[in-house]
Amino acid sequence: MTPPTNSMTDDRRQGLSERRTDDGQPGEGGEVALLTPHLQELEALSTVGRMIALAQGDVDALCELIDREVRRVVETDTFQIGLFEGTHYRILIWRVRGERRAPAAFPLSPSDGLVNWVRRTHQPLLVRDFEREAAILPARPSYQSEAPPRSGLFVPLLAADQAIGLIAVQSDRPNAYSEDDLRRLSILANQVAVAIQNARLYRQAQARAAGLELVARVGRQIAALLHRDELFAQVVHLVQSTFGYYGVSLFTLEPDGSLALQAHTSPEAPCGGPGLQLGQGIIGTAAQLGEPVRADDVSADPRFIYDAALPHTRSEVAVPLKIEDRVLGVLDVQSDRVAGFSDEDVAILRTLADQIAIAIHEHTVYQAERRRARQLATIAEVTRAITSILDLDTLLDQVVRRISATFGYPHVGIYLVEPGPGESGAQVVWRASTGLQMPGLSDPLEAPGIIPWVARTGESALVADVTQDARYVVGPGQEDTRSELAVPLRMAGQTLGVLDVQSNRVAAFGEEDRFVLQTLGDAIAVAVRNARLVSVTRQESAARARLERELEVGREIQLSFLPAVFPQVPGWELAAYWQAAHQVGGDFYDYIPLGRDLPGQPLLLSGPCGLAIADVADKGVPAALFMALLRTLIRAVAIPGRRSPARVLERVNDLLLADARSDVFATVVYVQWDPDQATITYANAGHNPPLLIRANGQVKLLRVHGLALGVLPHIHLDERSLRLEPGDVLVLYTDGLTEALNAAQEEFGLQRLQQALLAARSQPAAGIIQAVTQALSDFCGEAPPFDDQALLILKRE
Amino acid sequence: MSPQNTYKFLRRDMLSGNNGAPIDVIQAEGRLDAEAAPALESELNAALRSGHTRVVLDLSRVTYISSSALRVLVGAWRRARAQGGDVILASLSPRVREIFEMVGFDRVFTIHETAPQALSALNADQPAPAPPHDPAHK
Repeated sequence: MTPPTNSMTDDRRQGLSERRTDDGQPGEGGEVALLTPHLQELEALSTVGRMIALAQGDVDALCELIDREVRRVVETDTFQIGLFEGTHYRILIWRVRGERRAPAAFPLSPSDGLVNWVRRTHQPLLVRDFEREAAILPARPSYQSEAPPRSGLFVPLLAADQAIGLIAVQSDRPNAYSEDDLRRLSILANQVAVAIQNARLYRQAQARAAGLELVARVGRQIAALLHRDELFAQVVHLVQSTFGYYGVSLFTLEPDGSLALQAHTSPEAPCGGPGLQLGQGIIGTAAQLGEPVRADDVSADPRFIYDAALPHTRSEVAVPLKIEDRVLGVLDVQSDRVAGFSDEDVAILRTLADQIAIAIHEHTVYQAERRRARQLATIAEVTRAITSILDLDTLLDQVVRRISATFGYPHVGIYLVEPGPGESGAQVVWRASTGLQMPGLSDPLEAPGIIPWVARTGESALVADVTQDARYVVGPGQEDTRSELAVPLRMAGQTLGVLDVQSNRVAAFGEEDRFVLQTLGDAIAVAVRNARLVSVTRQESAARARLERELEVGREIQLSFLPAVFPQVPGWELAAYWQAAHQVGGDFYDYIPLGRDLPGQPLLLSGPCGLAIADVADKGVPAALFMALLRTLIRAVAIPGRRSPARVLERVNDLLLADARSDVFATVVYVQWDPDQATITYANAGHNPPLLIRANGQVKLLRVHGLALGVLPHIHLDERSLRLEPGDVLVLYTDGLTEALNAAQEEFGLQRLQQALLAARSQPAAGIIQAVTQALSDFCGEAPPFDDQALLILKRE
Repeated sequence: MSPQNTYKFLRRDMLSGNNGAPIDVIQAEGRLDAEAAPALESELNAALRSGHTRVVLDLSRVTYISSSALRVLVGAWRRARAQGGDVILASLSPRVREIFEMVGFDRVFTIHETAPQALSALNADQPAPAPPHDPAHK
């Protein structure tokens, strides 16, 4: 396109003759305009002023008005008023010899015509005769017409030191305009410029208000929406209906780095189809840069990808949806006009995109919370089922059904490692699954396939695409499987079986699924081991043997739930001591990574961490099972890292009481430790208060009152925070330690514990443990403890 | 096993002063640890059987109470409350009170300074039928 200001594509003359007839001033006399009485001129100008004031806020109405009024002031064979919008010049009213043309936009940059000159210099221009002045004009008009205009006036619209647009009038006869006309048009243009600027600001304010209203509506609707798809559909339709855009679509950035189309205002758009890649198209570019990308003329933009659902798109803006620096997706808006988006539009879309990003983020978090609540319920149920269902096959059958129903995994199966032929002497045997039942199916332990691999290595396998995994072999009836997650059923260092889920979608499972499944796997392993021991025990006639057996099971359960290794945290030391009584109790300690790292990699801890120590008021297998439940619940409630310690324990209490069949209660101290900030926040549910040994020898009992868990519902716990300085030692312990008795029935006591800790405080954490256990055995003698003893030490180096 | 632990229980049926439901008073003695817990449990069960629902546990001679014994207390307290009764504690030694406070049970159980105070509190709780000859009206 060529800037059309002084380029005529139409040389018909009837427009001119009509106008002359209307005005009753036919003829070619050049002085007609000059004869206009001054009074009339002034009246016209003040009328314009008044009308401009009335038309405020509506740029189109304003332009119509100006067209009318300019005609009264000067002769206009052709008239145009246009605005500069980014890289384009948009003509809002364009009349050529009485004939209205459609508004149009033209790129400015390649042009060095008169329009551009006016824009650059802010100067008005009077051309008395194009033909005679061609050599001295400041810019070259490019004529495309065989009968170009002969004279013209070009007046910039100036607002706040900026040329925002231009009014141009031209005549077919030479010397149609005087300096006086230029002055009059300039006065008018000044009023118009201010009015247009005001109108733009007004429109911008209105759009902002509409944007904010939209944001509020989006926010309100999110609370009621259960599905992400509904949210996205609402967003695109609201954006379109509020701002009247030609097309609106929304993409999300997927974990694999692609952009998936989630919603589109056109029903023909293929949602869920293959998405865009980062950097691909205008949308992919916006996602890659993390900045809005605008194409004023898509036909000239090599990045533009034609969308069959929006065939008339002429310009496009893609705005990334960002939370801080993280791109969640892209909001894409298209216009059927060239340069359909002003800078203000982009600014508003940007604000809106921020709000949508927050909405999506909150919705995701909300969904994750709901999902986690369901997961918690399932974990609690499965763990409880272990204590109530003795028949293993019934139990496993229920477990797979429940997991499948709660998590929506299409295929859930449990396989156990049993004695078998083959080199390893073991085989993996199918025991339960949803969907396909496969009794009798067994593979030698050394067989290929993901399940034997997990059974062999004791490690979990998260396979996003089975076709890309060398371990994978197609199982019977599993031809549709595309992704798979298998976790070992581990207990006391032994792999008893495999819990396996499969999906016909690629990458259906994530790290969170791995965590949940492994937690369930831990619980199932206890059930498997328990059932096996029960069946063994049934065959043993002696009651004593059974008791010993039971004690062994209890101890095994307890041991299997204690952390085998502590994470390495620079600048910190963790060490623990645990001693079971002959008649097993329910003491345990745990550390729970709350940062980004999942429990699969306990040695790569970063971010905050939970430390728990607990004492279950029971003995034997019931205590061990309650302990397993308690530990699972604490982990499951704490791991999202969103609850403070007191809230974690309160929630665990309610979950424990949801099935209050027993009188068992437990005392727990739960500490949230942030190594980066060197702070701890602690809550105490009826447990012995932790000890803080300061580097300077000051001893502090960290008292905070709270009721033990499992007694009353809806308890309220307090929590406190403090900072650990270099050399400070935090000590968590159970009463089996302080209440250990010597032969004279005297207690070891808090006093002796404090003395031992004080004396050893400058040693490394392991040395402090050593010193305490030495003091304990010096005091009590070598008799095995009557109660479990647990001690957990956190030291800042 | 804890060496040479001695504990014992003395249970008395007390008729409440105003002919209300009977109250059992159990006087415990010694270290109430895991070893003593089963005996405590059977004493409390014996008291709560036979339709009695109100028990005063006198802990004045108890030197220590373990979590196992606390668990027995919670169980008895739950059963008594379910039947409209209560298990009330009296005469806690400083050491035992400290343990109750630590576990938070001082806010679960009703605790009185002495057994007689506990008894009169239980009597006051229960609206009794008016006695035929009230000495106050003499």
